[in-house]
Amino acid sequence: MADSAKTEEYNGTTWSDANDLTSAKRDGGSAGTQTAGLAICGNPSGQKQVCYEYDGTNWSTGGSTATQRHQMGAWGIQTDAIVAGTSAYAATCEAYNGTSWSSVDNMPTGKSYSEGLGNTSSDGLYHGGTHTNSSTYLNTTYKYATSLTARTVTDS
Amino acid sequence: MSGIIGDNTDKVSGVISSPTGGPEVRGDNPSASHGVCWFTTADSTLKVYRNIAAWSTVNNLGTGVYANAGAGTVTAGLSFGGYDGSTTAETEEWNGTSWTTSGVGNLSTARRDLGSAGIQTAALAFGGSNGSRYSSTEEYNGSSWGSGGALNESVSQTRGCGTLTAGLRFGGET
Repeated sequence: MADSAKTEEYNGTTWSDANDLTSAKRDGGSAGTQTAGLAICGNPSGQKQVCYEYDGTNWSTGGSTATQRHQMGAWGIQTDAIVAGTSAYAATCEAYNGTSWSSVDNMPTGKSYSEGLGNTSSDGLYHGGTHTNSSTYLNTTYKYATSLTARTVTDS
Repeated sequence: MSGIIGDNTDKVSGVISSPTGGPEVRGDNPSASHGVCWFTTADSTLKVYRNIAAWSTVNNLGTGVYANAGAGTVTAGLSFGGYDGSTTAETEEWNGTSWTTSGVGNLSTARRDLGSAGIQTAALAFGGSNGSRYSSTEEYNGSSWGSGGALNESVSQTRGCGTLTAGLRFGGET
């Protein structure tokens, strides 16, 4: 077994080789488009916080996550993405603005090996996965959504 | 007073600076919109409406699964493949409220740790494994999966993004 750095582009009919990832990785997350992609964290251990941005031709290094992650979910676009969960069933999540990652609310219960989908950091779905041990197959679905909320302004 | 406190819309604490657009202090029960600030006479507090993202638990998948793939949006999603005790070809559609398998075709090849891209009515499933690794691609049209072009390597744990006609995939285990 070996980790791959290969990148391929699909045109609806065939896959064509493109420039490789800066470093090989597996089991991370993804977001974006063919011309503005995002490769998020993953294995091996040196990649667990490393993100790469694709501009349609080349990969370059983006912001690093605060938490080490693989076997997690992600969604969004290159400048507005969410990464959720870790292989250690953490509930923590982070949002990317195209430059840096920042912590956002934790999901209801931590899980790993789940799949994320959605277009922006404002709205996403995190479904399936496992926790505690790999013989648990979760059907839980979490929704991440933005809503208008009243907050009290304080001076502390 | 009226106006827009555009300079303070992200504040949840601290001192509100004097806004360049002029102050906006509305009375009780203002119309809700992002950035509106008002003084509540009942408890003498200053409040602001903000767009805030939060998690909630919604309806479950029909079948528990991990190492599955997905495509689409929060109102029109797709889950396919994965491992539910055995490697599965099952596909489920999400309509914004619930998951269904009704009228939803399964993958031709059961696979887990696969890559994906696209939307609910035009999705890609590629690579993955079920004992051995796959290079094959499948395309979903909203009701059934058909064959697509093969990857240039057999790979699992790869990731993808983009669309059915402009897809991208990278990394994985070979």
